[in-house]
Amino acid sequence: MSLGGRAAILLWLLGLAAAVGVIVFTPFTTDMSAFLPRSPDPAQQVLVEQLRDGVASRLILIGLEDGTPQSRAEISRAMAASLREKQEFALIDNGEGGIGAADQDYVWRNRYVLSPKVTPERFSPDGLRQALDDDLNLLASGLSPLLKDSIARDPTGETLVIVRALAGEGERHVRDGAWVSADGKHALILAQTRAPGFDIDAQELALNDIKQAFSTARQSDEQVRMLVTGPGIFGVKTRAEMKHDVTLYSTIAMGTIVTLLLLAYRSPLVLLLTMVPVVSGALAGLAAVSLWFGFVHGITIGFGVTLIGEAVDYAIYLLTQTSAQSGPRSTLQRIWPTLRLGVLVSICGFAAMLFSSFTGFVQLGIFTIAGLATALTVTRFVLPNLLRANFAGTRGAAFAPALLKIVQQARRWRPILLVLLIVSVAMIAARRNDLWEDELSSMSPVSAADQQLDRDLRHDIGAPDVRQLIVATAPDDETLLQTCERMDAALQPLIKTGVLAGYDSPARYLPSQEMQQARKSAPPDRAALERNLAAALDGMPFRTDTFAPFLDAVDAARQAPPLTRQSLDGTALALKIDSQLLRNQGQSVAVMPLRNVSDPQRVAGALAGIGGSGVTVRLLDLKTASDSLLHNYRREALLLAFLGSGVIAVLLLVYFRSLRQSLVVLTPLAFAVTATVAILTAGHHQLSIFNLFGLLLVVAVGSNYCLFFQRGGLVGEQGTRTVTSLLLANICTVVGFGVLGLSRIPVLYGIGSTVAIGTALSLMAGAILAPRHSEAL
Amino acid sequence: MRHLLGVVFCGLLTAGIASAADQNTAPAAGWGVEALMANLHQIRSASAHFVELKTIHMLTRPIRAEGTLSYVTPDRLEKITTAPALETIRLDGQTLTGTRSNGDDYTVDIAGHSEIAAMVEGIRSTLAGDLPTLQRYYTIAFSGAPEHWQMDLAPKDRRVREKVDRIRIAGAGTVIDTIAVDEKDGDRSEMTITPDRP
Repeated sequence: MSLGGRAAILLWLLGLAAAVGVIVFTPFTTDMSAFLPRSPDPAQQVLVEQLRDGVASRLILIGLEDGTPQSRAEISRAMAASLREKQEFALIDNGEGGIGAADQDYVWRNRYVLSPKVTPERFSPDGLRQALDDDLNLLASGLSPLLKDSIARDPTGETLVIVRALAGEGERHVRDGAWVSADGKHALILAQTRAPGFDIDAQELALNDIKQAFSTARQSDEQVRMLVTGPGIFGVKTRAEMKHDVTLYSTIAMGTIVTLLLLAYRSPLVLLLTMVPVVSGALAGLAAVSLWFGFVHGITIGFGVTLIGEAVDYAIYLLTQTSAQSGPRSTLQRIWPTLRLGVLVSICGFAAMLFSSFTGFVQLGIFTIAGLATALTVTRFVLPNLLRANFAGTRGAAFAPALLKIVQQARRWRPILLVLLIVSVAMIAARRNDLWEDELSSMSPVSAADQQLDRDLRHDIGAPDVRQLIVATAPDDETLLQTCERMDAALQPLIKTGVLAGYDSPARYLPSQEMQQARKSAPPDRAALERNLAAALDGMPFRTDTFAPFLDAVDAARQAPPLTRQSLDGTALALKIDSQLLRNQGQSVAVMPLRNVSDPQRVAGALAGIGGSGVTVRLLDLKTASDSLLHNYRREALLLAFLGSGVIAVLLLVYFRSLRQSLVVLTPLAFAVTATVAILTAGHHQLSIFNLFGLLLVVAVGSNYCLFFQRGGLVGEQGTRTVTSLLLANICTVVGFGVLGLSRIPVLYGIGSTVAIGTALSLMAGAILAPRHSEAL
Repeated sequence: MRHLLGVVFCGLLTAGIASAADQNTAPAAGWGVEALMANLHQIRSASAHFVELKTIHMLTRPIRAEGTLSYVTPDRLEKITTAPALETIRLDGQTLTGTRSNGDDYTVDIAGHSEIAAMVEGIRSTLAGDLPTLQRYYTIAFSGAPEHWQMDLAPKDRRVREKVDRIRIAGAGTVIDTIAVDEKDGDRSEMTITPDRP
């Protein structure tokens, strides 16, 4: 081996060691939100943030069905008791005990600050008289020995006003001490994890706790079954399915590819050598991503390795095209320009991903670029040094001469290719208006059955299935809460006219300091209040000393320290306010869910003019917003794909300095992409964003085939070896990606099927459109 | 101090949601609470007029209310107060619905509020002849003869006990004629019931 060869191997080994060194200290995450984009629009940012980390993302919905109602209730209570002891959960709500004691206490103690009815008029002689009339009716109608205490302390009924506002969320049904669905067929438990929904490991722990609690509790009635759903649960399931599918299909693919290569090379050693560039590339890619981002996403590894799978082709080209006569070095010299250009083309294609809004795709871009560059370098400088000088990759396969003949005569098929192209274009043109999946749910890896279960349980629980939201931002919490109060005033009249059924507002639990102050100064001082009360009591049957506790309570409220977010600690309302009052990029953000909006225009109209000077108010339709979010990603992906294709075209033009030569490479690719889209959208199928990324791969991999054909001169022994290597490389790609197409997970299915179809078409089109094979370059 | 949140409507019941029943069942041999309950269990529906007098320490004079009561087996109970102010309270299964003259309507799931449930069941499970439910909430002291009996119900629930000493239900045959509630603080209500003749 030459000195240079030794140096190359030494450098390579050092590089590998360095890469492994970096990788060992790299944190790996499975945070699915890396594949949710960074978005410039603040309202969409809130949406993404909510999907990622919001309270809704932390909810787990549990339903118990079958068995008897009593046993369901019993199991619900037993499960709730055991889950309440677990650290993983911030809240377990199965309907026991109604509103929590801490919440009752908060509302009762702060009623004069929380009640929207607290105004000066309410404490005037007339206002009090009206309240006392009402109280008398309450007593007469038998509204309770239990109510008496509260009448003396809260004659104006502020607590009732607040409770009504809170209960406006919808009455829940409780049977045998446990929360049940309206039809009584499910016992319901709502769990909230401490960890955010994207923390799949934590969600898995929580799910295991729930299963454990159920299997223990269920011993009282084996008939009862449990249904569990929620964003975190989806995450856990998806990861498990993804792991399962990727493991299963890549095992199948690897098995097939290894068998194929073994058949071709008839040497395990050569098989190992084939893996040298791709393994080196994967390690280098991981190290590069780690150095750039400081962490590597699990999916980057999974997909990245698939994406740089084309690096296996490099070794295949070198090893298969090397004959005993030529030796690896001369083969390398011959194929090097093609190989180099092929990798450059691929890198240009993948570079488009660097500009994606999805962190995950940026990682994939860096991974593939670093990986392919490394694989190429290793193929060029290291691999030949690992081979004997008289190495011959394959004995000429029996079918190879026939294959070459087919390739040489492939020009005959040009008219058919033209017909196929016209048909494809016509098919796509006919579908131009519904070519794309524009629903975010199409990207969801969650099965339709699971989505239905989720909708049903959500409906039963009557919980966050909110479509319209108001998102308001302000520089600080106080300004924001004041804004919410102005919106309160604007929205209240709309409820009466049926424009919306209701809404929730953080100011309901935590009024602005300004509002708190206004409410505190609504009642007059004690002496004046006493006079007003005396005037109101004139002629009524109440004993005069009855309302001393009321006067004390108003006094106490006036002197109480202002309410802050900390005042809510320990209550269930704290969870609620944390989901509605957020900090985002130095701004305070309020999220106000609206219920049953019948006329969004009028809601928007009522809100007009509330924003201004650093305050923004936006009505957000979650469905429209998430669909338009997807629409934007797709447009971005499309733009990036065009950009990548453009750069590839320019690269080829510059390299060949000939339009004709460039077209020899580009035309088959254009055909392959067009025909692939036509096949994928045949029937009623629509293109997803994943198909688009798949097409990028088709261009990256397919360009290599076309470059080999473009060189022409596919004759004799060399020609045989070249076509054999191309066919082998393509079969490996089709098998590797084709099996991914069997998966039900949209991202695997989308990329897998696209690449398998597209690369096969590229190979065929490349052969058919190749220049005459006599004109060797 | 008791917070009224969640138990705010408990009072509905102490005033007595009650009903009278047709007397169409002869007293059985071996008279006792079981026999009375078995007889009451036979009643399909009943309606009655009531007059209620309440003595409340907060007020300088007793207040008088009147209206109608009705019961339909197995679990529907309705109390319509016509004076001093119009008010309807309906218990249907586990759902308590109230309509008040000032527009403050409400719906409560009593199963979620054990105190309300305890007090409603005092009346409803008596009317339904459902002894196990009644015994779940009350210790029963029974006395009298078929032609005049009375049941003293002492609440088992601690929180109800803090408010209510005893509910006394008196009647003749399967007709209930009085429901009296003695509260812890000395307040008292007595409802006199006159069955409507079918």
